[in-house]
Amino acid sequence: MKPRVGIFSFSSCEGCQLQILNMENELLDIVGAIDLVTFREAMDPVARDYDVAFVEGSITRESEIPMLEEIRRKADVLVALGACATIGGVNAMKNKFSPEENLQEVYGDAGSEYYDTIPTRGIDEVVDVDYYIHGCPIDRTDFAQTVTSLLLGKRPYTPNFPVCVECRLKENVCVYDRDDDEICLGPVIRAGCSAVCPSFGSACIGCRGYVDQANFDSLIKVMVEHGIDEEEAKKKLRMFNTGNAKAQEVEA
Amino acid sequence: MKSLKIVPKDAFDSFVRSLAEDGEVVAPVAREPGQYVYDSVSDASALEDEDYIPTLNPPKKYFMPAEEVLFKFTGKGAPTHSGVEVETEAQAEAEEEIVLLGVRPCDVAAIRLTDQAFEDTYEDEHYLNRRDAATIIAMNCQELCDEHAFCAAMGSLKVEAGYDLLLTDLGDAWAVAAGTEKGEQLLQQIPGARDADAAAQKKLQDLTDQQEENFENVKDRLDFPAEDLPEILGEAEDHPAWQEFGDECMGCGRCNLVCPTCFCFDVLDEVDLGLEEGERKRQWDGCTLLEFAMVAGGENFREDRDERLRHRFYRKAKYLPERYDGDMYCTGCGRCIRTCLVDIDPAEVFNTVAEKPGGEAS
Repeated sequence: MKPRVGIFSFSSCEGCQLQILNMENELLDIVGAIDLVTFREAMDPVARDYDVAFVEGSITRESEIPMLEEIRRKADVLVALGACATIGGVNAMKNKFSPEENLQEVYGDAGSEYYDTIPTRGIDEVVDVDYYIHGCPIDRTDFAQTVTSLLLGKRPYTPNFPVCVECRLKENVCVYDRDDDEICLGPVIRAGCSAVCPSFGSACIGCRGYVDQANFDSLIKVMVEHGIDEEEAKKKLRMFNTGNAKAQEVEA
Repeated sequence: MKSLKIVPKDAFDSFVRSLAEDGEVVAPVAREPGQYVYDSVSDASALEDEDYIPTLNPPKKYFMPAEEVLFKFTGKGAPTHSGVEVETEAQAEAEEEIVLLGVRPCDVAAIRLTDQAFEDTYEDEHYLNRRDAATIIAMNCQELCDEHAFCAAMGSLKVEAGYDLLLTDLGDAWAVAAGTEKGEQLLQQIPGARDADAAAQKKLQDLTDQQEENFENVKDRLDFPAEDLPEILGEAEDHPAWQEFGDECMGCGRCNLVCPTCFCFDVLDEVDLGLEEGERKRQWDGCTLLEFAMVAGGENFREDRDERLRHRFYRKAKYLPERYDGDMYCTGCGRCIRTCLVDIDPAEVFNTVAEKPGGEAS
């Protein structure tokens, strides 16, 4: 029997769902392999029951918590989909300010009456998460491989080595050896993206979250050697990762 | 007796052009100033690049690609708890012929070392088939490429084997020495090749003497002869410097991945969404990476960065030399130093741990 799969969304741009919709060549295979019962961006029906839940978005409002908890209760397997869900993502930049300041800035005086807002969290700070598909947005191959792994009863493979590895595999000139002034977070950020940003003349800005055992002290020294001050270096490390549970290590 | 011929440079260039017409010829070319990669060439001009430093990735990428499919498989029937019944389809055995031109002695030494490892115990046909299809036209270094290389200290400035042809720059001509039967045959095909007369022999000897002088101080990069390293490391396991280097190290794996003698890989399966077809792939891995020594259940035999860094140096200069007749698995090419963002230099590491820690001063 095909597993019933729901794709759910919390605070996010819904770009990760869009990545799935964009898998034109594989979509028929996907719907052939699984029974998609909820997919907010692509269909109307909302199912009551499902085996696997892919959850996009971060938790930024009290009202989202019971909804996420209900998904956790119903799903046998819960997969965090994309940076907002895995590490809080860019939404978590607001955590540097108080909820009152955020409301005032965004909605003016009327805001606090209508909206609640709480510090942004990745979903694993609210419920248990089984697997992670990282990135902003997610990599489509990563999604397909996660689906096939779950179908095969295997643990999906998530690289826990840094982006530097993929740059070396592709024999890229290191961002720090180029003659532009780009600052790259590659040495401490989880790979799995085929080093897409450094490969196309940009630099890693950290959307897949930190690798385990990230050496922030050393990377901050490297960034400072390449012309930015320590505060700026930490700001770069926080861009996607203010909500990351490991972000305190950056500040230490 | 290995043949030695003198070939005028324009004749050699024509020879390379004809090789490039018949098949692939690769040589180090600058992708950006100071950033070299092995890439396809159509003539011998890459040999004249005076700014050459070792390429980002070593030539091993032609024998052991960064990522490769080992075999494809087809599943029969639905997967069960005991797995999927598979039929495997071996990948093509014959490889395309390729000529590697301008391979410097450090990399020739490294190719011999990876050959040795892949021939040992289990013959790795994926590597060895590609190796068989490759012709190595090496080129001597007359001067040190940059401040990071310490080839002379590791004994890889001069190579006796591992190449088919070895070039030495005589100015207007190449001295071309054959190193293998394949090289002998190739040498016969080079138009304009003449025997080395007394004057050419003299010039070669002068260049050798000059090279000796040019690299004399490179030997000093190590405070002791390289062959002492296994013994030195044997006594340095608890040296406090490992912790200090480990604190700097980012565990990013770059040193492993650019190393011409690192040959470890990870194996992954990729299965299509229909669960009927899949590929088993391997890609370069590195012992400084966190999950390299992690096993089922999550146990990690080298959990800390300093342990992993130490392991890497022990592989290069103790474990593998002990397995292979004293052959150092570091050629001093300097790639790891150039790529390391925190400037960890093996020569400095070896010198540091060779010193007894503590003493009166500390």
